[in-house]
Amino acid sequence: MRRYDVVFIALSNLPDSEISEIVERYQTMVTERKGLIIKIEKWGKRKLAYDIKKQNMGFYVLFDFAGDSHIVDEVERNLKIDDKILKFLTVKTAEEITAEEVEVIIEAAAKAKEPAEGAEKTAADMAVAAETPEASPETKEEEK
Amino acid sequence: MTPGNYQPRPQGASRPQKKFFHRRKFCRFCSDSNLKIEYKDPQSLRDFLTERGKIMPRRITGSCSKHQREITLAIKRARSIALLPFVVADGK
Repeated sequence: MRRYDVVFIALSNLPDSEISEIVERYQTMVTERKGLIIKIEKWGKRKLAYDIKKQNMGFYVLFDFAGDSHIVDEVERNLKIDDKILKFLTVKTAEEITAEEVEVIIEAAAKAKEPAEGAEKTAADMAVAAETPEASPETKEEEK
Repeated sequence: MTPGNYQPRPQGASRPQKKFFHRRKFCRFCSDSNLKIEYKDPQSLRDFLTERGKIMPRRITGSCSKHQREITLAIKRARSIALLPFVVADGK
C-alpha cells in the first residue's frame, strides 16, 4: 500500500451539511476499496492565493489515507466531475506502508489528541471563566 | 604608511578591502531538525518568497542544496492548491 494526501478545495458558500456530505462520500469511496483513512482534516474557509473558477474563497479539506493507486484514480475521477470542487492536489507521502504501520500511526494520533482534548477542555473552561470579566471591558470600549 | 616604506604584501594574505561585514549564512533546516518543510504550511514557506511571489535563490536564503530542493517542491505544491500565489501583481 501507499500513503497519499489528497487536498481539495470545495466551494466556500456551501452549507456545513453539504460539506460533511461530500467528505463522507469520499470517505466511503476510500474505505469501500480497502483503503485505510488515517485522518481527515477540515481546514475550513480560506482565502485563495489566486482566483479559481471566479472564486476567491474556498473550503479546504485534507484526506490522509493508505491504499492502492486505483483508489486515487477513482477519487480523482470523481473530484474532476464534481462541480462543487474547485481544485484538488494528490501527493504520495509514502511509497510503502503496511496496515500495521497505519494502525500505529492512527493510535499515536489518537493518543496525541486525547491530552490535547483535555487541554482544550480546560482552555474552554478558562475561556468561559475569562469571558465574563472580559466581556464587560470590551463592551465598555465599544461604548467609548 | 607612507609611500616610501611601502613593502609588498606576502602572497596569499588577504587584502583588507572588504568593507561590508560578511555574515556567514547557514541552512536553518540543517541546524534545527524540528523544522519541517511542508506544502501545507504556507506561512512558513512565505519566508522563502519575494514580495512578487518568486522563490528566493539559495544565495540569499543560505539554505543547503538538499533543503532548497525541498523548499522549492513544497512551494510549487502550495501554489498548485492556491495556498501561495504564482505571481503577485500589485498596483492594479
